[in-house]
Amino acid sequence: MGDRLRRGGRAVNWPGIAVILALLIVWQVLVGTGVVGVDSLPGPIDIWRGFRELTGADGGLWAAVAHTVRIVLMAWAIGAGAGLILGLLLALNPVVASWGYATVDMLRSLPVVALIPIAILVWGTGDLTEVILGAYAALWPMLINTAGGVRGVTPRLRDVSRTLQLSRTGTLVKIVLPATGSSILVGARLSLATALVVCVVSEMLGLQSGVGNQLVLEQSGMQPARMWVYVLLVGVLGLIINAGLIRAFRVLFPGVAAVAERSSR
Amino acid sequence: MSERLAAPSHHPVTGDLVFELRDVCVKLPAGPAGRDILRDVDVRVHAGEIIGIIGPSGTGKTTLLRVLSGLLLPTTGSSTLGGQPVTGPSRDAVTVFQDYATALLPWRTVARNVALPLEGRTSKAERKQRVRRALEIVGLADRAGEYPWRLSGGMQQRVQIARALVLEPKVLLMDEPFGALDAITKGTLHDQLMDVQAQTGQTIIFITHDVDEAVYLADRVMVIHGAPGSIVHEVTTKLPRPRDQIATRDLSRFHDVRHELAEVLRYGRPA
Repeated sequence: MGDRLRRGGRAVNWPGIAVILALLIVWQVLVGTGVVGVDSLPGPIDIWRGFRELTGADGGLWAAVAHTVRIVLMAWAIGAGAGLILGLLLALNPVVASWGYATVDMLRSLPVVALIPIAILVWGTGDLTEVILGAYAALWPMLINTAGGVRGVTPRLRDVSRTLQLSRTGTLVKIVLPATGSSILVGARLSLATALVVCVVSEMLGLQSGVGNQLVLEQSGMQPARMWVYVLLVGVLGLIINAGLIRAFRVLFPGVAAVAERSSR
Repeated sequence: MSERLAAPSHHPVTGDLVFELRDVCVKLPAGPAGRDILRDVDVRVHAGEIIGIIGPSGTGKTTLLRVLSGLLLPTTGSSTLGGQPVTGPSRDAVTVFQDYATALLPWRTVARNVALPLEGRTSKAERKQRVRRALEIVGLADRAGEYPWRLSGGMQQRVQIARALVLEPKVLLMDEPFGALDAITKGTLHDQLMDVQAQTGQTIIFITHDVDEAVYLADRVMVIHGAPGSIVHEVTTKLPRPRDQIATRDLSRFHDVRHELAEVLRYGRPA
């Protein structure tokens, strides 16, 4: 594991890639030989053709991707940032905790997806609505994980900070936050995944741009291959953004990342 | 290993009074009435002494060390360090905890763990130099860049000791510092600790439940016993220094002290 950490990444996972390729081939064979004969299920080759069309001159795929990625990242930064601060307050300040926990429990149990039509009514079908919805969705996982992580910091580290005479700020920045690092990373990843889902769904439910919107348009245009392009694209986007987040975390906080990877093994 | 962190003091020691605890009682919240942990504890420790505090579990050893360190204030009675009343933790008396794995910061390298208490208080150059010196004293200068969890238990405990030494405290307080280590590692660390003490002249107060460890390391051993705990016995070991794992343990004086302590631990008083 240490060697992997030093290299800062994983070796290429050939067996994993082989399984995915095999599944694609099976899919193509099943569809191509007519064993699965459903009009709305195209094979990988058709989907690839759709992808080429959509990335062509008047395809519009990259514009949609750029829109969704931009909004998701913005919403995630706002929501997860607020979640981090509120989570810290909730865990460290007894007054905030006693007044706030009931509200947090109530609000986070409301399914965000159900709020999408309401948000569209209130703020319209523009980018603002999407950012608000994405940020709201990103808030909760970060808040819950941060607060839980801080409460889980061993009391021994409080003793250490006291016997070494660290200041309050020093204790927060040098002990509490890094000790909560792996929980914060989990929160950040869940936040990002949730923001992506909520943004795409809100694009499907009425917003006028982005990957989700294109997906619904292709559906009404009876273009299953192109629909599948967008479906797979959302999955790939999630993977790429998540991998980027982990890479950034490793570069910015190498020690905390090493501990997080060690404890997740 | 020859560098000194602080002015050396002479051995055997009759230095200034460092710690004085008078009639210390500690009651901790438990149930409606609270529970008495320590009762009427009097301790006097002089500069340069190595003091062992031994007792069965549940007699308040750790509580006593927390009172000495200022992490816990006595319910009644007084505690002074260098003549000043103890009102909280002090940089003059730094604690080394038993559970090194939780007390070290796993996300910091060895050097950055040791640098922690100096950050924001010294120049970068001075910090670097003091960290290197502390790591040299515990013999870990070549592991400075590693994460602590990649080291053995004994090495991790030495990192924690270096982190305390880097502050050049007058007193090292150690809560069962070698309790989690195997016998061979323990013996090595005993000798290293006494080496460090000979170099720095620090006062060391350590807690243990191991009679041999208490006799081998300490100038004076105090026995804490009962519930609530109080100090029921005290022995001055009068063993020559430097001590030796084989020769010292063969001395008849070693056996006498060991015998005496074992009796007190069994009966709560000398038989």
